[in-house]
Amino acid sequence: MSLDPPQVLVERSAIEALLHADHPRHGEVRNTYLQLVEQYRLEEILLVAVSDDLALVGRRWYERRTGDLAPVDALTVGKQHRRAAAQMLTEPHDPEFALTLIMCERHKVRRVFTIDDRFAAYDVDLVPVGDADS
Amino acid sequence: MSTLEAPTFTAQGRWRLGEVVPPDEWRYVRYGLMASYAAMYVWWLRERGLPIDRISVAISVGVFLLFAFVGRPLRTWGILAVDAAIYCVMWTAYERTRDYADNGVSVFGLFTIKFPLQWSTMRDIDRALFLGNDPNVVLQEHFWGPTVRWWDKAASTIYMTHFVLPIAAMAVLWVVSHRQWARFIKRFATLLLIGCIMFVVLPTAPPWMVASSRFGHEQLLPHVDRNAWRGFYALGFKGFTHDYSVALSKGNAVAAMPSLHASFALLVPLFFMQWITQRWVRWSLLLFPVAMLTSLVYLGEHWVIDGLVGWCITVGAFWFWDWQEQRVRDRRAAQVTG
Repeated sequence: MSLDPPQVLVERSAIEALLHADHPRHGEVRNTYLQLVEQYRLEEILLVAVSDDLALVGRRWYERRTGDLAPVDALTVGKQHRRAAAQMLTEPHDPEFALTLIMCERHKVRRVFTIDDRFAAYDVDLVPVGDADS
Repeated sequence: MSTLEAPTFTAQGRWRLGEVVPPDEWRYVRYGLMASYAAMYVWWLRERGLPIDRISVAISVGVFLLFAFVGRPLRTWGILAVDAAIYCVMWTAYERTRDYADNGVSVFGLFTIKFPLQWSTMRDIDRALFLGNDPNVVLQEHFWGPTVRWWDKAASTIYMTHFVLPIAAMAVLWVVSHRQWARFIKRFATLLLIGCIMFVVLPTAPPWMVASSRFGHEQLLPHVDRNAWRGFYALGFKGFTHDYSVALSKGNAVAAMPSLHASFALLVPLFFMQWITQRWVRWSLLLFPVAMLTSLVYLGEHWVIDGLVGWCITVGAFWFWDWQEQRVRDRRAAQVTG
């Protein structure tokens, strides 16, 4: 039993679509994200993302409560996670993808908000994207 | 797909995450160490007594955390170090209030403000609440005797849980969920802060002191025995210091108002109630603070009003932090929704 509300991992592909207005799936991703944010506000879920993904979009530690990713907490990647990612053989080999799977497993995340089809091969619940009223 | 051989699939033909991700090899080491700690603690409790002074408690919690965090990432250790520093500062500030309560508060070394010790105020409030009766005296007249009976053991054990229960809750939360630990510590620190301020501003003599003329004041209550630990001794548990009165002499004797025993006894059930689904179990948890206050009054440690004020502070701390946490969520969500 977890004491915290279930965590939803906002994956890199969703972050990129969310932050770039010219991304082809920006609208549907944003609509779905707004629904997740409302669930976060009601404390039904927690929003998390891998720290490497947040760093990639330029979020610094002091900006963690500003901008579109303000409700998202970072799952900080440690050396042991990177070592484990290097051991994992995904096809095609992608240590960053492997790292996301490792962070999901180690932090007991079972729901992922993504538009990357590769996650469908794993037993995580994917947040349906595009069901929202557009 | 992984270094592991032949991963199994779910019914939908998907890879199980737990089998494709290399396992955390330290996990079972941690479980083993924590189980040995639990066994060691029970043995120590039986053979050497209950650790109740701050140093012993800090060491016992520290050892538990060392065991529970073996093999965790360096950053997690850093967060733990910061948490531990906050925890130590909190207790040091609490201990400092003894000086302020005894010697007054010095204002820039120019003058000292010393607040008057309350001898009869709480006794009068209790008398007003109980229609002219002194609850401490009435309970002791009816139940206290030269021999230790089952209710003495129960009262003493409930009293002693104060030194273990909140700290154990904190240690478990520290390991299970840092977020919940932070929520707990905010409420806990608020109680401690308000308690410290009140100890300084409203130093209050407890019933056992008021019922004696040995403390430079006339006796304002009929005789009240003070022996909170005798039931615990009768159960075979010795005090860790071997002389409980030595441990007590280091505490602030005139810190009756508010009762932190009563506050903490409400804090722990109130915090954990949210995860208990069965309504009768949830509400029956509240019998614990009631039993604690009854024990405190019976053992002559506190006035009833001390406990009631302690409960009010606990409920207030919950209300404040629940409101504050919702505000933070609203603010973070508003960053997105505009």
